[in-house]
Amino acid sequence: MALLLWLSLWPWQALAAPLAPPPAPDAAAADDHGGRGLHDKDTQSPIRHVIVIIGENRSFDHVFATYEPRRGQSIANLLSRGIVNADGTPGRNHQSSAQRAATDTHRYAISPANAFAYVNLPPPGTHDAPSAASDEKPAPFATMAAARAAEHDLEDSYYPFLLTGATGLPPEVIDTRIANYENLGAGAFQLTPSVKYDDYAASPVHRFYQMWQQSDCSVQHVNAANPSGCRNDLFAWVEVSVGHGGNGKPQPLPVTNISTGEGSTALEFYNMQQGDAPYLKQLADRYTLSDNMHQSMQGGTGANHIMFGFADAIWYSDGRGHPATPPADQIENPDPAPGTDNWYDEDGYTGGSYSACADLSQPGVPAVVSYLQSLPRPINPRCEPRHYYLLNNYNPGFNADGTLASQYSRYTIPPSSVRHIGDALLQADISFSYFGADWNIYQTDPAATNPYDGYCNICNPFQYATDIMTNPALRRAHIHDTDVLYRDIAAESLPAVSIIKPSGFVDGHPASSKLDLFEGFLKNILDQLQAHPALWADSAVFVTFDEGGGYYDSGYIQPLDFFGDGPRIPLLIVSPYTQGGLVYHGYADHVSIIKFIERNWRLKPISARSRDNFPNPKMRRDNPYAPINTPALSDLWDAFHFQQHPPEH
Amino acid sequence: MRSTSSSIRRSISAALAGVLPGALLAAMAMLAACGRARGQPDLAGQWQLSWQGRIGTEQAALQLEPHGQLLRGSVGTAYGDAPLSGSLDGPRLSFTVQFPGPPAYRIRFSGVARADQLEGEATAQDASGRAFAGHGGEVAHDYYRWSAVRAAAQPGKSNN
Repeated sequence: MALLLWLSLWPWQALAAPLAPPPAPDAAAADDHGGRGLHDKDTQSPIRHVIVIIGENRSFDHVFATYEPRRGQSIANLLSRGIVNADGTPGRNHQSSAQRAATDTHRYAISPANAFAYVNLPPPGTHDAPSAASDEKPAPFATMAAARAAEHDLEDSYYPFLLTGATGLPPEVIDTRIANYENLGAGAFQLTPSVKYDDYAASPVHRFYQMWQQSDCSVQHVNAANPSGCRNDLFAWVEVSVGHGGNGKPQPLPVTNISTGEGSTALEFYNMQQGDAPYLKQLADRYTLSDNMHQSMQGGTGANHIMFGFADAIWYSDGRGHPATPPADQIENPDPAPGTDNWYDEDGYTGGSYSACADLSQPGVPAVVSYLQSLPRPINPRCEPRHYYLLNNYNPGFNADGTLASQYSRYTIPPSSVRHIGDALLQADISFSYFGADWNIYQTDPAATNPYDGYCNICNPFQYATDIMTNPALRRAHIHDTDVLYRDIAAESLPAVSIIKPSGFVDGHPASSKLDLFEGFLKNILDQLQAHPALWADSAVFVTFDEGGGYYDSGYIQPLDFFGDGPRIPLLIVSPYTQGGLVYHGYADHVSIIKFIERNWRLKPISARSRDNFPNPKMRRDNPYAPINTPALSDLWDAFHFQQHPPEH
Repeated sequence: MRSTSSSIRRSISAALAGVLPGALLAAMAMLAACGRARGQPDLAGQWQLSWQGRIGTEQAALQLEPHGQLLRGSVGTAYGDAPLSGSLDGPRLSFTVQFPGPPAYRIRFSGVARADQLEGEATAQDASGRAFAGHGGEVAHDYYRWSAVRAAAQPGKSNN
């Protein structure tokens, strides 16, 4: 018996694990945004609350292709340009969206020669869109119980959309759900109704060097109406030639129009006149829609959230603020691999993602820089010597608890010392919070093993920043899950600046989410906000997307520097001061929202080189879209009607 | 029956082994080997486990305690200790780990044992199975592979 007792007391658990105690819960978070800011109400407008909601991966024309504003308003979209008709069929100018196939076998070019027009686009693919609803595989879910366990940010009527919309097709094959998939013509085509608005579909490539090629910018195409010379006609070719990149691996053979799995997904659009995106249309009908808002970087989610938070790109460092050289296989090389046509030599989410763009000997760099400097009004690339800038998605430098994220993945940018909007707000004592859905789960799930974890680590600009993440008090004060957002709305105690990110299940990203789910996320927040009239009365909600997701857009692109801009994305400005169903044309990107915050609270630009130093645009009367004082970015101030006192509800 | 007889053998052997922990462990390992099916490797003891999550590689201490064809043990990470249960079939093994979350979730690890290495695939058992891919897999990892190697001699050493 003594022996058995001894056995039972042996510390077996000590053999199994090194277990540190779990981190303390974030109990104080709901009551603490660093305290209400001393200067929260010291504003230049009636707006006391700026709320930024960022969805995922939809271009302006992809969503608002056929939107018609109320009488007296004008808009630039596929319908107004005559590219399509209201019923989605090709319009009289459909040819202006026509795509071309090019050849690039030697050096990376952003406007390759030898291009020829497609007669019909390559058939669209399914890529990684989910085949079937299942609780054992990625969304959609098979059961409502699992859906509700995973997602907490929808109104009840939207939950059924988490169970529907699987393709019924294998990944990376031709998407045979699409009507006439072999005879789509050469330009934009309507995705619905053969693919339902509630269906999942493939996600087009939207990486940095790919997007410069998709835009096909050349000084040879410059004219008065298009002073940047971007023709937006290589979307399909980039999809079928390189797609999402090969992470340094050889190009799979044989090369066909479907070998990247995408086909010409990029040319798909929804049709609001046939019922698609009904809630976004409702908001546009009632408030203000921008038709000249842009993704701030060519490329994807991480880079664009960084440009939003820092008004700049960030770079590889030694972790202590000094530039350093990343591992060789993390440096972008978009030059064609030997013997291939546009198969990038080193590029991918687990491949090359940095470029030292001040160094013209670096692969890919000369093509972009020579274009910028060849323009009639040359553009400074704004690249610092020996700085390798992050151009695509890598994990931020920190885990939720402030430890280094590099312990989980080598595809992690070291901690950043670049100044960001949080620093400016802290310095001015103005309250702010980043509300990232599923942050609570992520805190104990740094590698994202938990199947309920839809937190987007690359979307949180503060998670890259050393000063926030190494300070427990700042982390607790300024980063929260959405449960705190809802408590703050209910208590009418929102911070002055709120940045809100949905979970990956409802962020609207194609393949992993759907646009109707993002509409549900958005409606849930706006309904709660508007249920509190005092809070709503002094709020401005900026609803936008991180980038166009690689979807075609017909709009003007203003080159600002090496990093972008990129294609147009939707921006809805929802406020008592933006009512009326107006369309705003001022040239804007994500940094424009930062400029609005800075103007409203009298802040200086984030740094001497950040994009928020750019002036507001000056436009020619005959072209309201292309600033003549380029590079220029609107601060969105003139999208508001502050003279309305009190505003109508 | 195999499990019961193994347990009896373990108790007898432990009693004979005296109170020295090292000797006791050695005896237990020997007896566990006696209870193994033909061709079934000895998996008892500590392993260093790693698996691919959506955005990185998670590492943990894995303690395996075979009882015939049944498998017990635990997985320890910096965020807590999670019990496991499973089974053995020759060189093949599978076990499900009950992670505390929150919210709680289960991951099923299945694979094979080769010499002093285990490897296979991991699949979530609730919610969205292999977990949400996130941005169409743009922070890409092959998140369902796992492997384990024999841990170093020092018990309980964190690999994180």
